[in-house]
Amino acid sequence: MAQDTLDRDQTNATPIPNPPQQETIALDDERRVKVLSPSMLVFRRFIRNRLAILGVAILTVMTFFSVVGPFISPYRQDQVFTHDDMVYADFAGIMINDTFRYTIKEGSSLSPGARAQLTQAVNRGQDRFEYRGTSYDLTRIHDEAYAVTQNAVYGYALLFAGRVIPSYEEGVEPAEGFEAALKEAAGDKAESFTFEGAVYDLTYEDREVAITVAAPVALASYNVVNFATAGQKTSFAFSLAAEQTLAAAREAGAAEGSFTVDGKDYRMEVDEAEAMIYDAASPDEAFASLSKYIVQPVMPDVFIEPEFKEALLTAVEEGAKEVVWGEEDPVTYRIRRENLRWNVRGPRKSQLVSYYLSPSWEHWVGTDGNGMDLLTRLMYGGRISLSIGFVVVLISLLIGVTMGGISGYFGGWVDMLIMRAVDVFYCIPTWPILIIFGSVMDTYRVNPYVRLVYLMMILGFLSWAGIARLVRGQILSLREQEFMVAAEASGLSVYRRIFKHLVPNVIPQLIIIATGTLGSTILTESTLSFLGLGVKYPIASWGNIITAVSDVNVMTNYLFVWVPASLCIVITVLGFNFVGDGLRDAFDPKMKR
Amino acid sequence: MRQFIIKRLLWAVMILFLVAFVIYLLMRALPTSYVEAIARERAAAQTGMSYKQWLDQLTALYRLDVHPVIGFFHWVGNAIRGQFGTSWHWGVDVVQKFRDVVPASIILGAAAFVLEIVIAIPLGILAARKQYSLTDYTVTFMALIGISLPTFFVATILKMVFAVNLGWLDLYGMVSRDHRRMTDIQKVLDIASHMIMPVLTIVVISVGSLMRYTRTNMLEVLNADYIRTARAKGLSERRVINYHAFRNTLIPIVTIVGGTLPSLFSGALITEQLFQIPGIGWISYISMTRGDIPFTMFYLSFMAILTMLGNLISDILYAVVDPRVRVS
Repeated sequence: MAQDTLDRDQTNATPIPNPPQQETIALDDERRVKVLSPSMLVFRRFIRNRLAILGVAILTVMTFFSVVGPFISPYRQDQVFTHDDMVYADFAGIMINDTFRYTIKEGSSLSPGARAQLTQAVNRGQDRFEYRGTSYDLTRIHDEAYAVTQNAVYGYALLFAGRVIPSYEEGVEPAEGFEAALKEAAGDKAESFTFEGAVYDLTYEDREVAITVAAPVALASYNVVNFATAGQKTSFAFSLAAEQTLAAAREAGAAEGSFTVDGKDYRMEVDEAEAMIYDAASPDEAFASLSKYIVQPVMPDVFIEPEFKEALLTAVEEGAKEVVWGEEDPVTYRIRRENLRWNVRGPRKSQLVSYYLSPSWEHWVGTDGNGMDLLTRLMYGGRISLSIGFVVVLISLLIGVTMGGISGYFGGWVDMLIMRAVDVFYCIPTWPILIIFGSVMDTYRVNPYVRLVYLMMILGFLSWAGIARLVRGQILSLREQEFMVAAEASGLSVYRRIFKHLVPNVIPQLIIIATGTLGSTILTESTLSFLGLGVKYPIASWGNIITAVSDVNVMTNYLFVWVPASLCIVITVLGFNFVGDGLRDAFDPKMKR
Repeated sequence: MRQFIIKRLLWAVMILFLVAFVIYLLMRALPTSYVEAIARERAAAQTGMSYKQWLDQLTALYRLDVHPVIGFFHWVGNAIRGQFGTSWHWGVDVVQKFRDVVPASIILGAAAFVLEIVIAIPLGILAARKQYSLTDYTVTFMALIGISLPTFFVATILKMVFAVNLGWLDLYGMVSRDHRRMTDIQKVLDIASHMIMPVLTIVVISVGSLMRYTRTNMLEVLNADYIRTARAKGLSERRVINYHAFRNTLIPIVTIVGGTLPSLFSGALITEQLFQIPGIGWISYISMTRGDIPFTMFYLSFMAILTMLGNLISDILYAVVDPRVRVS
């Protein structure tokens, strides 16, 4: 065992360069080639260490990743990704209509007062009502539909020697055959006669006959006509004919009926909730529907076609909870009853934040809880973490080397003072101070970027004590060495002595401590950010990416959110430690024996 | 020797005094509006005391109304007598709260401490004895990984494995929900089971540095002339290692380990917070984030004292084992 160690020691022993001051050796003598500068020796020893090389590789990759990565990444660090998705939202409301809806005949009118009278008359079972001197007749079509007619003077006729001489009101042009019908009725002294669907009343007064006609004014019905084409309005004639057909069909117990309006034939299919009307010319598509259910879409630009309405109403009648509608891509609509109202919820396209997306081609590491691309945030986070590390090390080196240098070189009461300050800084608990600063800045809602600067300054200011102590110790021991005496004896200036002879001898230790501090600063920063007291949203940092893990759901289900960031931290810090270790061994070959 | 200790002790007291002054200044440096905002918050949250009363209490305790130096002496006077005031967040005397929570931290710290020593020292020595062997590389590598791991990562992995996937341990806390109904033995076991993950976390992240320290020192000792002499005179390898080398390695290790003894009381700020162990670390964390100034001041002073004590013990132990130090 020991033998083994010894053997290795010999092979690893550093080549001792021959002293070059021998006069016999020419400048280009081969033996001189073997002389290596101290830095070269260190370098040789360093590259022999495999872990150190691994560390360098890691750091190169991570630096590339975090410095170049953000430029390559197509996304920004605070870019929120959204996607469109179907969300169930209120689509329509279905109500049972319990008030009369009026279809007014073209050219007529029915005042609101008359409408109120009409409702009362219907409720009382009367078939006639008056409003402001005008009397209206109600003709029942079926229980929920009434035709309103108003008696209007049609004209007069003179009965003279068996002849009827009519004179009409202004604007009235009787149809052909009317006079014959009138003559016949008047001859029989009939009270009324029917011509082309209209009832004419005859009032006799001596020889004069007053012809009044029950002119239809409006149709009052609980039913509503809805057309398949958006924007189309019903006409009085159409509504009346539809209602009459519906009444006839219901009375007869038939499921079908037909009627003609304006020379067009329509076919009607009747069921419980409503009646569907088809144009006879194109019987496949519904032309209109007649129903006392009102289906009101929530969005004003949505048009609900009669077939869909029928499906909805069938579902309402059956008490179904869901309706599937659509031929090409069926969509499920959900119906919920609220008293006498049904709420139809349909899928609506909404913009959703794509949070916790699994890794995909668009997002190689997935997205985080804010819908931001994790890989991009890892890159930016690395940049922040590394720059915090470097700035902090720079600050602490600056303060530490200055303080330590002054202290070590001048000694005396300056040394005493600075070393007590170092002692004090050693005793100040770093973590509590960081946490307090973090929460104070939280209270003030400091701008995240300003906060970043503060964080660097605080971290740097809290970590210079160790460096100062190290530099002082080194300088104290170096100051007494022969080469310094020689430097002094050769009359070098103080500046040259310090910076050309003392400082270079401290640099190895400084580099080692700097790599160590870099690693530990990254750890400190990430832990602080993890606790929410360091780097703040929207700035990415490896630590604050992992914060999501405090949610157990994220911890167990979204490993891709926190594992990559954690690995980034571990690998980077490991890289720094490997390099630091390698440097320590390279600078101090005594330990490597 | 006694002179050395006394000298060091006096220095320590002086440094402590300065640290306390810095801490006091830090507190004084907090923007007034922050203190006022906190006082207002407290007044709103807890009945019984108005905003003005809170502010007055704070002012009286820290003498915010006088010059910082005079105020500091007032505060130190109170602190020496153990009067740190009433905690704003916990509503009880600060020292009382500290006494309540410190046992949890001591249990946690002691368990981790013992484990660390038991793991780190033998492995460090093993690695040094077989330098550049696979064992050595493994140990060095593990140690470096341990040093490089963030606390929260270790804690999360442990939680993930033991609490979520295996379901063996509870995710948070120091006691189970039905702790009160348990028998004494069950209670002890309950706490022990809740301590497993926090202790493991602390051990994983801090075992590496002690391991490396042991290895380095052991290597140094193994390269010393007296070890060569011991080998040369024909001692068995076991005797060389266990008798000559090990004892000498112990010297620096003892001083380092002795120096960490006071930190047993300091609690593990981050680990306790992650596992919600009601020790001094977590309680202080809550106090600090909630702006509980009395408790925070106490905690800062306490931490400073512990650090100071650690340095002191380390120095004195070093002087004890290495008489050369005493002279200079």
